[in-house]
Amino acid sequence: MYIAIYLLQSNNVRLLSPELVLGSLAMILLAVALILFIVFHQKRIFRYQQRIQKMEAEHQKMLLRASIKLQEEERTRLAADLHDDAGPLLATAKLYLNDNFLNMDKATQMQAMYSAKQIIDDTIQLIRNISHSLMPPTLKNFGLGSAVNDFFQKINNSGTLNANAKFHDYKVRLKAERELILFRVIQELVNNVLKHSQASFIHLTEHDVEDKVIIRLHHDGKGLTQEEFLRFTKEKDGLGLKNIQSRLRVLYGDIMYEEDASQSLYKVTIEIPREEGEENFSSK
Amino acid sequence: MFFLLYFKFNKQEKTKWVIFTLAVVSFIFDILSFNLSKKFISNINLINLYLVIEVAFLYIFFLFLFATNKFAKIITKIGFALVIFVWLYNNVIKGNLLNKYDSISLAVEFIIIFILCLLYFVQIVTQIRDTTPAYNTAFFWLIAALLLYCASTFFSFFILNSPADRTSDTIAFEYISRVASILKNVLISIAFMINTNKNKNDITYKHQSIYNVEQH
Repeated sequence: MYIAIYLLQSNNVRLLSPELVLGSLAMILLAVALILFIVFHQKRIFRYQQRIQKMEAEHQKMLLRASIKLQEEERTRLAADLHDDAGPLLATAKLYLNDNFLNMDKATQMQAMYSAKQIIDDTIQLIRNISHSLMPPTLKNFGLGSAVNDFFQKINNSGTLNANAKFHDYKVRLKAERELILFRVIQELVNNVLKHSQASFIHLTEHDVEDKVIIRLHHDGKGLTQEEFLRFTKEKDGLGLKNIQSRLRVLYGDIMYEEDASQSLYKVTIEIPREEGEENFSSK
Repeated sequence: MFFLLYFKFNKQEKTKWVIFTLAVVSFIFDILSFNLSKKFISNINLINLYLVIEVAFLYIFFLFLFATNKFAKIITKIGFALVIFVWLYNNVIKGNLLNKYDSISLAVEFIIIFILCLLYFVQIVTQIRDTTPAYNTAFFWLIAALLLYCASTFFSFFILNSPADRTSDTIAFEYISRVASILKNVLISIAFMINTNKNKNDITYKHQSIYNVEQH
């Protein structure tokens, strides 16, 4: 503006048309204002996105820590099972078959051999149980539907609550590793219901909608809402929920906790997109 | 020549290359025009011809810029077709090529450029960019340069008829167009100084879970 006034007042350029200079200056100001607006707007948006990214990275770190903790707990349990159960059993079997074994009379030898065989059978059973807890054979051989039904059968046998599952469209199985992850998520959800909700029944259904496996779990106990779920996953506690979230991330899946329309039930919905080679064409 | 070859073979920088070539062409036209006026020969036809060349370069530039925006591409095509039509009408049909500045075609061209610049800014504001802010790209500063240049010279070109009459408007036009050119060149220089490769080193978000913990 000062330059324009100077140019207008200066003797040298007295001929300058003030309307033209002021009109052009107004246009320049308008263009500069527009450019500045875009720059500041972009700065604000970018700062906001960076904050979101930082929060997301922190959340990721938290999930990773929870996953590592879970893995360590699993290893500790496995080590404890092997050390405390299998170790003493095999040591006892060794005692029966010690150096003195050959010097024993026939009857004592038979008795010692029978006891050692019994202990080795128990050890085999124990190792089988450990192995099954790591990878359920029903899941491996017959798929998610059978494994969940098997799991629910065990819950029903305990007599604490009634659990049932219906797999309507699960004709094509997910890939083995993805199926195991989904099974672990279902196990964790059911464990949470058993531990915290005081429910009297659990009902699980499966449907396929547009290349997505939809799992719905209803129960009549005290459940969570989505806000509560998200809050728990951001807190230090809630390891199980964090594990559910990190496992679902691996599957690119979503989870939704909500109160049913009837207000008397709680509902958890899991959506898992099918990958290439897992498509269920009958659901289309 | 070296820069021309660099931009020619660097496909990612082809939008910059168009503007660079336009700058070189405009520089040549400025020298020619200056030499003609020094010899008291009319340079009106040269200036009127330059408009067509400028329109052609800007048309290519905007097509590259809006490579993924179909709507903006259509506007670009219609807009520049309109400018060429007005230019043909004024200079060929009415026969003003040699004796009168074609300020109408210039005004239409500037209006089209305004619209396209605004379209670009709207695209920036509405698009979600998760890598770099728009002002860290060369395109932003090239568009800013165009917008500022058109804004500052819009009225002066619009009222300009003949440089032979040393009216107050003509002198004002000279001052304004010089200042606007400097401003435009500064912004274009900023655009050329921005390193596009730097923007590729963004933090990418990766899923981490128990299943890839072992790899760390």
